[in-house]
Amino acid sequence: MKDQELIKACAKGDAKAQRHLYDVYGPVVMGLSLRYAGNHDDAEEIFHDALMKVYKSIAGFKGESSLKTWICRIGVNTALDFLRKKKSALMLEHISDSVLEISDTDVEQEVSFEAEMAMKLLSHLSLNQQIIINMYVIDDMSHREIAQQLNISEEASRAQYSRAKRALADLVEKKRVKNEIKQ
Amino acid sequence: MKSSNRLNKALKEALDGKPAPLREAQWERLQAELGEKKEKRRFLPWFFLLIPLLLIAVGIGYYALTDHKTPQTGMQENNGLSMPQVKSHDSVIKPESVQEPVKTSAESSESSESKQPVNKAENTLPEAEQTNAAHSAGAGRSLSEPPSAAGSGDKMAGNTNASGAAVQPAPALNPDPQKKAIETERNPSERPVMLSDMQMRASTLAMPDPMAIPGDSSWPQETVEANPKTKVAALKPLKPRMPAASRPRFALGLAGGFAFVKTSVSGLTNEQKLHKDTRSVFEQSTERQRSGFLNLNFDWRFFHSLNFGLSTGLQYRVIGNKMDVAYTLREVPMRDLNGDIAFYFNIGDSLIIKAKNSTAFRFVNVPVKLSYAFMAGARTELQLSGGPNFSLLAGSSGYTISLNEGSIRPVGEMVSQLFDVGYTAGLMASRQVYKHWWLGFETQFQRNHLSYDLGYGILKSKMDTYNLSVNLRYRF
Repeated sequence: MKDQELIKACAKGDAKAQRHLYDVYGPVVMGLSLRYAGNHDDAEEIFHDALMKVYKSIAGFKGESSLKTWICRIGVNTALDFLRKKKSALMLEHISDSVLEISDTDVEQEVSFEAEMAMKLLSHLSLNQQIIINMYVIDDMSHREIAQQLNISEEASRAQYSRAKRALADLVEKKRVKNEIKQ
Repeated sequence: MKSSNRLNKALKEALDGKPAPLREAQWERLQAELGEKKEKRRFLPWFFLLIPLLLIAVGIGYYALTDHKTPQTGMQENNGLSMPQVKSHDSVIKPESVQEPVKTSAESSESSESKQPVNKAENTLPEAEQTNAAHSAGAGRSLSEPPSAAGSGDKMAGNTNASGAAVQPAPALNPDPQKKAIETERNPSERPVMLSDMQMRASTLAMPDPMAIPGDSSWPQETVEANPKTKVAALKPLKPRMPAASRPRFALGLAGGFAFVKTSVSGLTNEQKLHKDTRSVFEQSTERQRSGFLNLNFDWRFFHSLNFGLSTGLQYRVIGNKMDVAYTLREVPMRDLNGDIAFYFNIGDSLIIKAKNSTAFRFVNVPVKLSYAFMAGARTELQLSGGPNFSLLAGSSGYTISLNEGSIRPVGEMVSQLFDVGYTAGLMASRQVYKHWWLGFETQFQRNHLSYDLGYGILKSKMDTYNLSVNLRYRF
């Protein structure tokens, strides 16, 4: 079924189309939810809320982006809402640090991870740092977009990202020493 | 480029678009909630439609089952006189259904003499009164009138002659030639004349019939001769006011109108977590609200003798807003571990959040009002009403500023409470325009509430609407 047909059918409340959308895009949304939530229970909640929003508002989808991008964006927003409500997260820590050095740290050699290892690495970061890495690195959002979404300044977003990268690089180097990460 | 960084590239390759397995239970949960929402949508409007329909059905049922004979008025009770009654006096021709067996002339005379004292006050029925009885409230009769007599009262009125003393039965009414002969033989002058009684009745006749319909030409406006020896003075002109007892008790109506809306913040929960400009931005974003509405009304006056009643119905209301708000975010809230705002950080690069679009809320309301209606002229009625207003948010469209999230969101997503009980009160002036049809103008105040979930806290608002409407009612 093409995306346009899928959108029309879902907008009409066609159960088959809804199931088809669930089968095609559900796993992607679930993966995204897991990245933001960090645990399966919360991820399922985010996934559920996101899919409900998709079904509810798909009639208003105007095709300005691909359906997948639109669904993923709803997933990100839902995850942020969920974390904000559940954990009072997304508060800005040590914002005064943001005016300090902002550098983009990197690892010394080429590196690659399995998804599981990547998730394990991210879990060592603070929740805010995980969110910034998810938004900036994986979901390709700019610091300006992140700032708008999180109601913070761009500088704060950059600072959080910089600290997260530094922490990740340190972790990777340590893991490399232990030979847990492939070269 | 972000991905030029080795670490970023590795993370993106590992996690971007990485699917995660789904459990069937997740689909079942989604399916259940989607089905539930559909059912809810189906059920709620029907539920709201059902309430007024039920009330209307009860009203119509009550109307159909109750006795519609016009009650006696206080004036008649005060005079100690009941409404004209037809009883077995030989000088009055009873309707066929209650006629006694035909008597001979002698028997008739004897009977007349023996019954005279007993029937002094109630047996003799002058023509004018019969006419009046037949006329009152259309073909309405006294409550004490036997049903069979009531059924042929019009014929009786037609059979009385001008003198009111001797009554000649119409051939159609009394086809029995023997009976006709007996009645013809009677001498009207021999019949007892009860002047005191007639005088009392004359005083009653001189007053306007409180149950008469104004403008009805069948009401005797000139001299009424109740008896050859008693001439009743000309009637005073009728007062043009329709008494409560003869006004219709039920009304079905259709109304439409527009309203000015004032929305204000009535409360904030978790205010310490909400941006300091939340209140002002919200009020600014609701400045241009206007409303239009369509009402299906049902009015029911409880009793004939009372002006109190119930006024209910179904209202479909749309509150629209031409939103044009821009907020420059210069200060970002700094939160402590509880999420409370500790202080505001002044950012150098300001962020402008704009919302320029049309928003709309669609409500289904059911007002249940106690009403008091009284006549302010011959065909003009004033009605005061007030009571609770049950409101359901049936739909919404458009976007608004979510300051605490620094974004624009659909208004419908932010509303956290769909059902509300508010109140309404109003004044309606209506005028009879044609038979059962009344046209009215109503001014009404209505208050309802709407709550918005702002993520960190709840904003409670009150919506005051000042309504003007035109109301067309069919009264019965």
